[in-house]
Amino acid sequence: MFSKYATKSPWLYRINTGSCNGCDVELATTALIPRFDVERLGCKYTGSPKHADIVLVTGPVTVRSENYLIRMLNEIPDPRVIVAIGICPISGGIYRDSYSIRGPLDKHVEVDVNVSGCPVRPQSILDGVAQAIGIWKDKIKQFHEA
Amino acid sequence: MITLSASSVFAYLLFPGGLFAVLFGLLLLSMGRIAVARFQGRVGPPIYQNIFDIIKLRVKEVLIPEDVTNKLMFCIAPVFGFVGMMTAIFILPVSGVYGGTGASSDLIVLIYLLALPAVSHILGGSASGSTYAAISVSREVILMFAYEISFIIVLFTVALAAGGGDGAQFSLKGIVDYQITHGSFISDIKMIPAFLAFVIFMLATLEVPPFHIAENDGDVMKGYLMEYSGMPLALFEITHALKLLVLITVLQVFFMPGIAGASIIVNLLWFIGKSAAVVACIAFIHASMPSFRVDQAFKFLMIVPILLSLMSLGMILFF
Amino acid sequence: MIQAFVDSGNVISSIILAGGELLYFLVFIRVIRIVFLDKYRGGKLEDLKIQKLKLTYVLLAFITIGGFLPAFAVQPFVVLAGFMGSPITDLPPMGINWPLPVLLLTMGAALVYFIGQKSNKTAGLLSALVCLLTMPSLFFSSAGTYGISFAVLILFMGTLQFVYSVSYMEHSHKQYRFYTFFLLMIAGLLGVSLSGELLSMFFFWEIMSGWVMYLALSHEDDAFSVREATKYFTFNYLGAAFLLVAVAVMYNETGHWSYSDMAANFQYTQPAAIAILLLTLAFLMKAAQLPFRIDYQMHPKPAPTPISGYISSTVLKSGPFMMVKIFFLAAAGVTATTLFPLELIMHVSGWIGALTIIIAASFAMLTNSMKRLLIFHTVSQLGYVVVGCSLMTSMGLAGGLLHFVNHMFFKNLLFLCAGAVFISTGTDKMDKLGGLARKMPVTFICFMIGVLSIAGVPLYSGFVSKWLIYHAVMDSGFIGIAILALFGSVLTLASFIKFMHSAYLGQMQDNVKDAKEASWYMLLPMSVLAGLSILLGIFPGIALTPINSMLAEFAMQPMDITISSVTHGADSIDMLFIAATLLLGMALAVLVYVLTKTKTRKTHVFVCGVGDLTPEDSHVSSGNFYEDAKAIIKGSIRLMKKTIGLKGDYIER
Repeated sequence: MFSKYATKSPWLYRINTGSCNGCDVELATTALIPRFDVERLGCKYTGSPKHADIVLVTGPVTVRSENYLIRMLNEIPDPRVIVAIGICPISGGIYRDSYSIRGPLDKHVEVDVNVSGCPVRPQSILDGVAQAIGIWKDKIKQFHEA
Repeated sequence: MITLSASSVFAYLLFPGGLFAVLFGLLLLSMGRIAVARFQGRVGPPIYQNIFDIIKLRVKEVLIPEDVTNKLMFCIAPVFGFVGMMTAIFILPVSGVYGGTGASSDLIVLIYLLALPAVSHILGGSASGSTYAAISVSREVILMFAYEISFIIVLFTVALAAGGGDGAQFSLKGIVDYQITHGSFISDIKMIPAFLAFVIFMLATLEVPPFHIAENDGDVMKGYLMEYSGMPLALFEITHALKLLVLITVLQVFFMPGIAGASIIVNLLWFIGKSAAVVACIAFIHASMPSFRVDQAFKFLMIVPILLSLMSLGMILFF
Repeated sequence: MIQAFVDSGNVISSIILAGGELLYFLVFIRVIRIVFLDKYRGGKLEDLKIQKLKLTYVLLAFITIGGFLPAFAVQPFVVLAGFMGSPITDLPPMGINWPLPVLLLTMGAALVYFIGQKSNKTAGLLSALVCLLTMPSLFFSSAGTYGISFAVLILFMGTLQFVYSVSYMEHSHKQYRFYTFFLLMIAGLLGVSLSGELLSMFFFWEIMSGWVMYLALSHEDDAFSVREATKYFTFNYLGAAFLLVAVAVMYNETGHWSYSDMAANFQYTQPAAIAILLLTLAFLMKAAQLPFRIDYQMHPKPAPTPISGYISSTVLKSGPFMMVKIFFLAAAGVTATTLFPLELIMHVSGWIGALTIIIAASFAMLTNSMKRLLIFHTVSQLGYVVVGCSLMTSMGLAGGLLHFVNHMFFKNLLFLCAGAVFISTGTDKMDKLGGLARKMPVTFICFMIGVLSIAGVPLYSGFVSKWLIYHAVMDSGFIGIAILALFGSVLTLASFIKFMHSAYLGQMQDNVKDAKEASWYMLLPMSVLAGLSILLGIFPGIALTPINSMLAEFAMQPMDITISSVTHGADSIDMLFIAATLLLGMALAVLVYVLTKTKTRKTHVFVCGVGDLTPEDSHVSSGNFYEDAKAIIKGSIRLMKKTIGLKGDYIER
């Protein structure tokens, strides 16, 4: 019963794993520009990973950021949904096979939604978040049955 | 002695304290968020958003940091603010609707109860062992240091004004009654500076811009709330909602306790309307202001509201 | 010191001569001689001890520190010996009355001195037993509720202090000496509280704040503690000098020593007004009001913590205690037209109290030493007591006296907690601590109760007394004092948050890694005091009932109280009611916790994923708290120093 209402309040948290900042700019605009107001879905950006429900990961997971990423993902409470934003965390994008890349993201953690694009379009981010909410609902159920 | 009557339990648990206060406070928070969104040209969240936030936090896992210095303190800290605000809303009169508790319902008690949420932030943030939380605790205390002076002066000004010439009126009910017979203080030119000082105090206590300093996402992540998750965090959110409602009620008790009619329903609607208007004003300031740095905020709070409130105090004393 | 006596004596006597009363002058001289003689008597008591300690202490200190400071301290003693050469044969009828409990304690001190040499534990427990066993003898005293209540508290706190010392003084040296002097000091204080006449009061005052205290304070024998103790000793002698002159004049004016006769014969003449002024000054000095040079005005930091706690919580209370007594004595014979109207004296001391609250609490914001922070706060809280007592309304007095009792418990508690931390980590600097709460959970909880009490949070003691004081101040119409007093409690909370965070919470530092929880001897008094703080917070009536009978003793309107509530006019407060609502809220919150059975997991503190930070890097220490507030305080200190021609900033002495 609670999972139905709980999904109306997904809090977002952004992790940048060495992205070129293009996707981050798009993420910022999705929240702020009136046209694509993500707060309509009940979302809000949180400052702390411990409040997060949906984690938006950008960047190709560089060598430097690998440890930080793993440590931080460990600090996000279950049930959570991981969304890969942009082509970099999905496949490595233009950085694929580079010596300094430890990607893609699904090597380290189970990714729930892939939102492709370079950079991603705001509409597809919103679509990704909406899909993530659907997956999150199932996860809440599983989490409470387990 | 203690009067544990059914009506007081009702007042504490359901109306106007307890359940009503929590729900109404959460709705007011959402209303604030919507108003900010509209001022920025966005749509904003639905009106019941903050209630869903609480429900969501209930299903989440609770994380406790390994480095937490005292687990008991970490878990019990949110309770401090919560009980303080529950008691505050219980003793505060709502003009025309609820008379307060009579006994123990006075300004000095109110000061200490209003300080409890800050104390709980400080204890919780400090016990979590996080550096961000420590910085935010330091900021919170600095701001508290500055805004409490002006709050104390405003409080004595109101007490003296409500005393009507002979001594000070400390009872909250007495302050409301005085204004109902003699006209609200908001319409008294002598009390306008005190009113402004109180509004600044409210903004600083609620930590909305320009005083969004202690729990600013931008530089201290989430400050003292950093390490909290799940139910303890929800308790902090509820406390925040109650604090908003308490401050709005205090504002109405101090400056505009006017009643709209004889019926309780009409007065309650009038109270809700006034509260919504205050929230809209706060949202306007929130949407149109950038945030101070902590040193700027400290200087501002040490000068402007204190001078304003002293102005009122002087006028009340000497004219 | 003697110079000070004579100088101030001359000032007064010249005033009296100008009044054309030669007789006064003769009597005055005689009184001074009597008091000198009394000092000789008192000196003889201590002389025995000092002779025994000559090898171990005085000469040692003489040689090691170059003889300067002890010589300075011994000087009055030497001069007194000169006076001994001309003994006075015609003893006047006013001797010293030794109340029975004081005698018992003195004998107990001797017992401790001889038996306690065996071991530290014997000495400590024996001293505690002496204190405890002296308590029943108070029933035979005739000092009235006011004195006896204070005496009961004195002995009770003494007992706790000795139990605590058993563990605290374990690694010290010559514990029996410490216990003996401590007991003698308590005996002096007991004498002050029980004596029914001014002369005996002065005599015991000298014992309490004279040599015995000096020897107990400088127990550690290092240069620092001796220097600091000497400073305090000097300041006490200055206060005692004022007291001596005032006592003499009071006798002149009335011709009696005992309070009741004095009150009956009291005429509020000009010399009497000056005497009252001097008495007030002396008592305010004892309570270290207006703390500009805290190292002179307050008991020194390097002294053993049990005695610091005792002086802070109990001995310094003798100032406000006597102030109330003297005000009431003077109020008996007040006439309107005098040089210093009594109201003015009381009003000024109220303002001094209010300023002290702010000044001391601001200094406490700056300091980095645990004990100095507590010492500053002692002064600050005594400011509340002085404010309450100087109002002389029944509500103000009740508030002041209730705070008097509350402060005894929570301040001693805080001192004991600081002492436990000191013993366990070996440092007094807050900067070097951090994360102690995990190592010493019980100490931490006791400390938190102390902090919440001193900040006046409802449910803890300190709230009701402050409530009473604010109401009383506003009733008397002193808005300035009320604002300062209320603001003082914000400052208090702020500086204790600094203490709490940098010592007990935050990241655990390397040098507290092997800290241990305090021993049972330490935890027992701490928990007793913590329990009392909560008990008095919810049921202030326990302390207010005796206070009510004191009010009746002073012929004032008693307060309208029950066990948990106070009513004053239209204002009333019921702590049980507030406690019930707060506990109900707490139950609700706990219910919410219990009902939501969610999983709990342990993680790291979030530092953006960084894993190689040392605890020092991620701990915010006391020096880094409140820069902006500190800047303002430092600025005003600089300004203050400039106006009196000094340069520089706040100096941590």
